[in-house]
Amino acid sequence: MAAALAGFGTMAVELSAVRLIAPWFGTSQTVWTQVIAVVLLGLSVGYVLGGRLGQRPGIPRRLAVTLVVSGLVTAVLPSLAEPVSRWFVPEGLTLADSLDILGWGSLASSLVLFLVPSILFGTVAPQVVEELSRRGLDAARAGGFVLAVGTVGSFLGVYGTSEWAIPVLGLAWTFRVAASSLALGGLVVALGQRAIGVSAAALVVPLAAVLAGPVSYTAPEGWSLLDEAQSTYQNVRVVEAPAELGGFRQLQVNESYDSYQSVWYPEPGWLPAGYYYNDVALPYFWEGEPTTWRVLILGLGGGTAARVLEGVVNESTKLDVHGVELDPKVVEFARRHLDLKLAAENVRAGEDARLALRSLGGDWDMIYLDCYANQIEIPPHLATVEFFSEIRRALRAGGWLVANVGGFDEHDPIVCSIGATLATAFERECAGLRVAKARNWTLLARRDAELPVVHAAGRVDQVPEAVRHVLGPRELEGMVASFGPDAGRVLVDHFAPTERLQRDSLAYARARRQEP
Amino acid sequence: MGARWFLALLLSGSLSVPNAQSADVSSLLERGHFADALARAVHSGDTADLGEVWFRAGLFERVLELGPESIEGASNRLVFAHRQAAAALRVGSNDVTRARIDVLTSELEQATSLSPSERAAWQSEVASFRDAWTQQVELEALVEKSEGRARLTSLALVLTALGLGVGAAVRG
Repeated sequence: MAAALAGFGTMAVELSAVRLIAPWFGTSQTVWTQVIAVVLLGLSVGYVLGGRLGQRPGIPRRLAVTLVVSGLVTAVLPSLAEPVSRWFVPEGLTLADSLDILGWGSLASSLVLFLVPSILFGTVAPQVVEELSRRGLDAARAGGFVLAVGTVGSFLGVYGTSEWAIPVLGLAWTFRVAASSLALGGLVVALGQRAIGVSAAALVVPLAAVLAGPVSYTAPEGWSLLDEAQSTYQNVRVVEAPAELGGFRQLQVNESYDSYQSVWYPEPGWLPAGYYYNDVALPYFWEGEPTTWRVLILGLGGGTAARVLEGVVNESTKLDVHGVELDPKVVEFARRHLDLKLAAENVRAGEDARLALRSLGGDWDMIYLDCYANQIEIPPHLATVEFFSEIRRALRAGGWLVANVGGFDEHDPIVCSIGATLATAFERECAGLRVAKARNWTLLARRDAELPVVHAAGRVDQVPEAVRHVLGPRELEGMVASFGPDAGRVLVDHFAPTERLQRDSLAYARARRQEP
Repeated sequence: MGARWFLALLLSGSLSVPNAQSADVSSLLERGHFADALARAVHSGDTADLGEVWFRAGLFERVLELGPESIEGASNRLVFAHRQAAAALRVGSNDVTRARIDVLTSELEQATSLSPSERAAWQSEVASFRDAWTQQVELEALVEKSEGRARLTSLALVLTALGLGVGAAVRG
């Protein structure tokens, strides 16, 4: 049982660990790597220490103590996460400024928080093997048995934590349950050994776990936190700006910094300058406000793009918007706080964009692509020639793909790479529109038809009056670019390093900012 | 956090700025005719107008490339200096920002045509930019310090863990 609990505890802590520090470091591949590395380091050290401790008598009692102490440490982790993380992350960081601190900060925080419990978990298995050997089981069978039981415990820890505990109970209660389970195991072993002191200590753990502070996001001064939850994928929350800033709302995830996933203003329709969502309406006006307009939004988020369309499309047009969003909690919050009005049958919540696209069929007038993970990462399988080719096939002839890509200028590595990939899939140049006052580009491609927006000089040449305020800034040089297949690395399913490109993009911007 | 939102307001142009832009250029920009506004600004040679066009388009680097020599009138120079300081803060280069704030201060001192209330308003603007810039510099220093702290902590804990493990293995 001790080995199973150690395996369970290891995975419960490891999977919850990333979520615990997510409000300060996010859940990118880098953060996962640091957390896993720390847990592996702790386990390795624990195995050696456990082997050493196993040479001494009193193994069962020591196992009970180890389980109780590891339970206690697990119980207080949620309270320690914020002070520890804040020690390595200054207040007021922007997403671009956070690049340098993410790697080292998440490693240091992980070491401070998770090294000790990992070492404790690691000491268990060798001692159990030794105890079984002393009871007559040969070493090979004992080792095999302990490994098997420990792995089953890990298996339960993986599924129990990520599929049940975090989304159903929330992060704070996940730690409470994990801590109490470990303490309960310690209590059972201690009672078997008639170790009264250890048994009493085990009973304290659940109390400590309940008293430990909850994991909660603190809204900036003047802002209101309207809702917060741990979904299967991330920490999701809705915050409202103070009235003097306009009282708008943002749907944010994880560390957020100055970034957000969706925005809401009281009235549907055009958003103030600087929001890339306004570009979602451009093809509709370029096509002369047709009588029907069928749109698929991949990466629906809180439904901001749908709300722009809802407000700007002519009353005589039959607007039919469908959306796909991976995180059901985001859709739930959007309905509750951001006035998402799409009918339930038009929203695919909890589905991957690529799989949903295949099942939804084709003939779309426009597909809007706004899929991001961990704030800045475009999921690799949603940025490849193969995926863009599937989008192209799903569009009607002359249909549009409009994609949001975070990037700084027309030489930005991620913008060039996605642009080249789009151009390859659509077999013609695609266009990029820089979003004024933002670090976003809107990329446009069309199925078997010319784009009306770019001519040889790299300027917009069709500006319907209804979208002049959106396209006006794009009349200037530097605001529009075209991308051919050789504009950058073409991403394919078997090699799409989008995370590295995104980091290159931030490094590129940082280098540019240092120029006098 | 408060200062960040103030900075956001300042950069978005929501705070009051004495409006000495050419009415033609401003009006064209209001209506979204950026190409025409740019042509008008180039034709007139007014750097403040040019700066305004690029500022409104979010091309902050272009604003910084402009020199103030051709601007006539104290108010125009102040508008231009203001825009440059805002653009420099937005682009985020400390050296450039400091230089632009110096320009702003110098322009303010030379602006003899300003009334006392206008002068007070501008002094307040300059102070705001200086505060925002100072905050940015402090933040960057803090990031550096935090990174150093994280490196040291990581190194210390990894070495301690390895020491524990190796020590136990050797003694065993």
